[in-house]
Amino acid sequence: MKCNFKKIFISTLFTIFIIQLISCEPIVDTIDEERECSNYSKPNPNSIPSKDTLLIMTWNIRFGCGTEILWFGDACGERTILKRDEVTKNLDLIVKTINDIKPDILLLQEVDVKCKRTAYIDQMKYIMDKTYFNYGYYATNWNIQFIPSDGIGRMDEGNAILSRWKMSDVKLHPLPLRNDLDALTKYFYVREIVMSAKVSLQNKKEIIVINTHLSAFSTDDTKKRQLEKYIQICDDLNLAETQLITGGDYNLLPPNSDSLDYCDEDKCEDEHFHSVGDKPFHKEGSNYEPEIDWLNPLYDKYYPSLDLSKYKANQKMYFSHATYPEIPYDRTLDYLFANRPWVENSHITHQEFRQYSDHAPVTSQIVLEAK
Amino acid sequence: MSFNFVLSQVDSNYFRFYGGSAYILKPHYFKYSLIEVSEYGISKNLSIVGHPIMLFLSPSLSLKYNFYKKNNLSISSIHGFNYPTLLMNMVKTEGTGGFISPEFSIPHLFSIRNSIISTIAFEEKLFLNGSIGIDIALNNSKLETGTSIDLPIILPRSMVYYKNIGFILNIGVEGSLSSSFQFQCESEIFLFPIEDDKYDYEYQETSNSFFAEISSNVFWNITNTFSLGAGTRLCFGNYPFGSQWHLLPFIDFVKYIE
Repeated sequence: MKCNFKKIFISTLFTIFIIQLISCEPIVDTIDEERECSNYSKPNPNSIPSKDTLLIMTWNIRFGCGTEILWFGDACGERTILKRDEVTKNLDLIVKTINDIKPDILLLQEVDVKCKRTAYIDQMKYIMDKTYFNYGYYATNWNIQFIPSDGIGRMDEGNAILSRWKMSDVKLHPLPLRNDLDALTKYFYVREIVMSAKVSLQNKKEIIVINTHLSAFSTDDTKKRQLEKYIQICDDLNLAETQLITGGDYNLLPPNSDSLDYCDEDKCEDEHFHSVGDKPFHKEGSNYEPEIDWLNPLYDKYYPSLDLSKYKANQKMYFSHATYPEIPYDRTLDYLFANRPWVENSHITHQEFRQYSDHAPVTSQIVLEAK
Repeated sequence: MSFNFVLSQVDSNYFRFYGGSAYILKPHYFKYSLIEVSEYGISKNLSIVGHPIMLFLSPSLSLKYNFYKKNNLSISSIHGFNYPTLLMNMVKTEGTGGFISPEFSIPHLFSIRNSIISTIAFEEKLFLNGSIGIDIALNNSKLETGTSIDLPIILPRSMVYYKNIGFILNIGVEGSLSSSFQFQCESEIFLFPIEDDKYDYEYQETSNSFFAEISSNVFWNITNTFSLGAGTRLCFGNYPFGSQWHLLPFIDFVKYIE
């Protein structure tokens, strides 16, 4: 029995090479350049009439982890891999909250798409399927096929913008990486991003929407560099005739906050800080003192939904984050800004949803100017 | 004729098997490599198959028995077991190297595999191998779904512990390209057609039931008993998050000793 096996072998190698070209993706998506975002919009959107006053909301949903589950990464817990029922229970609470508050435009942070830690649920699709939003886009900020640490495995976490009205020019803008990490950790670490989109209402009015999430645990000037890039992106998109709305989880305190150091509030049972010989002296991501004035340029250029004077007068009312579930929110990290003033007294930090995430949803209203 | 040729393959200048075949290694001869399983000839019809390094991490041993040999066709059966608990506990750790979350406990897991493998010799240095096998997992009911390592190569070989029963089909060709080089092409399919309530409820994105691998390797016969190989392994799988392709590089050797 004769056969030309050399020919078969060469053909097989060639076929494999072609399949490689069309099929494989890198282990780590380093997100080095600006790119388009993933479209989750509904195929048959409902027709939504235009409005003059829009309700805007930002919410870091903590990948549907809730607060009762102590995740290993930021709550001194032992859990890494959540079960499907645990995730869907929390996601249902998040969806109910969104449907109750009914924002017109929603900025989300920490949305998981098919991650091992959250039972491979596509949370973006889950939220789109169960809410009234017609249009939704997702931008990854941490996309790795496999993280060989603590059993985390596959990771695809990111930010999202959801809108009643059509969105276009939806872009992901990468922010600088942390410089206080070793090379290996840095390679597998989250790349914070800015997400921008143009929302077009039926009455031809257009709004630029920008969503971001800055580094939570950096101990150097990373957040400052990220903030500078973020403000630059806002400035570039801030055209005089167009309304611009931006917000997200900045992981920075308002510049006139009374408490600046949360090491004691955030420490785990076996941790100790602020004493001679303690290394590190401060808990990673819990000491805001060196960075307290970094938000000033944003306050100088744009209108906050929450005036600093109002915040100063009643800070507790506007706290939007705490590390542990058993205590009330103890700091403000979530913001909304715009290039026009917000409706006075419309800023609300929804602290009643304390158990749904380690961040509270923040809403405010804005009046659209005639084009 | 071909069977006698293979039995004396360590004496041949030109051809040594790398992958599995129905042939039994000559008594007291030992074939080993870095990735592929090793084989030790016990008698004319019986050999023992296992991986010398993995034996200590994930004990796995099989017996290969040749029960048919006529003309160009040889058929053997393989019967073995695997105990992956040690290895899974080893990679269940905090920090770097933690492939499995430390929150889980790993029960004592076993699987038994029975397969039939046949080899047809087309000519003196060209062989077609085909096999079909069934894997059955034991004592895996308490294994948490979150312990799965969802990577190519690993998941197809550990999926039986989540899906209880698996079928493995394999077909491959090995032969000589020249006096110094030989090749191996192999495709392997892993099927898990029986649904497991716990696993399939937890991971509903895909069926998690099909994996395939295609290997293409070239070996350089450096000495009469040692070959060095390089190539690629193309992997496809229905992972819990969806379907994905991977193309992995391959470097290995095969050494025959008495």
